[in-house]
Amino acid sequence: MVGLAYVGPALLFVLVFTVYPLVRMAWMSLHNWSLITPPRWVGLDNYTRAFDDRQFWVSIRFTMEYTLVVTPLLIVGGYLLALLLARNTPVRRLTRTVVFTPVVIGLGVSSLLWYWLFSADFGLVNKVLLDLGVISDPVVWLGVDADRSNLAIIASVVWKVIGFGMILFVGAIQAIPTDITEASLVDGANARQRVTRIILPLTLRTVLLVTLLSVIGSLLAFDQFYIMTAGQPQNETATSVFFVYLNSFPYLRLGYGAALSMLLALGILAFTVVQLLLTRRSHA
Amino acid sequence: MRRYLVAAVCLAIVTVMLLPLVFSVLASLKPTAEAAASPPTYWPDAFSLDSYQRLWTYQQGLPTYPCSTASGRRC
Repeated sequence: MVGLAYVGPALLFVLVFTVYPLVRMAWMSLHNWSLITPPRWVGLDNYTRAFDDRQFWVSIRFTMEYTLVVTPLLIVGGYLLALLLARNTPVRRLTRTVVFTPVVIGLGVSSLLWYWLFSADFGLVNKVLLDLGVISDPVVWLGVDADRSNLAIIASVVWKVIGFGMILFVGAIQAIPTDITEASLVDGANARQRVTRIILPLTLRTVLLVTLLSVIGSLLAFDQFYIMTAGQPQNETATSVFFVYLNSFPYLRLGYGAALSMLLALGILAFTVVQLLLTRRSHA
Repeated sequence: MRRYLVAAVCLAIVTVMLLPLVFSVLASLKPTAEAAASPPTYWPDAFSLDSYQRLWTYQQGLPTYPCSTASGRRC
């Protein structure tokens, strides 16, 4: 009884803000509901419809492609930065702070900033590239070509998020006991050996954690696409969450949107379970 | 030698990471016409606080939003 009282506040919080919305969403996914008319029970129709919806699969595919490109950039880039900046010298501390700065900006704000920077006429990206002679005419980055839009968004996301992984990696590298590093120096290990044989294995858990977080974040990508391309051209840059949003709100298909959310949540849950099992087995 | 290499790489990283923010701050200090110029300028020809003054009158005015977020009612 006393134990229940202790977990009570947290339990209440989870019930109100996680369990209730989830149950409500499951209920919504079984109804046809346009928000202006009362919900009508349709059973599993929304789910069968999702499997036949080509645009849904296109958006899943696009989200996967985005995730497959952005995750390695964030992990490898963040890790290289951490290797460079892990020691505590004034220059490294300063650089670390600067790299981490964009993490504390809201994703919406940074997307607006990059929307402006990538604008064809008013943007400074085109201006810099023109002045450096990389391009000869202004490039229309966003909303016309799917790959080019994706490239621009990925650049903005890497700028925004890379510091997050870096900080966790720096923490993990600094937590390696100094006697291990010293022993390896005595044994004559060179820099490359120290990285591959000592630092990498001892920080593997953190690498897996950051990978998990960043994959989930990328699979749920919404803000940057909503702001920078709004799915253009022709919904080619619509991520799965953006597609859920499109159905739920502009198209007023709340039930269908809820069903898509459920499928998405199940997919991410499955991925997370696999990832956690791998982490446990590797036992770094 | 190695020290300078590290410092140079750090400087490059800092520049790339800070440029978008610096451009953004500089743009906020341009007069409205110059901020909307195409092609844009790197450094403002003239400094002005126009954009900051407009914050108070743009849409409902900046103070309205934190106030309504914090209180949950109209401000």
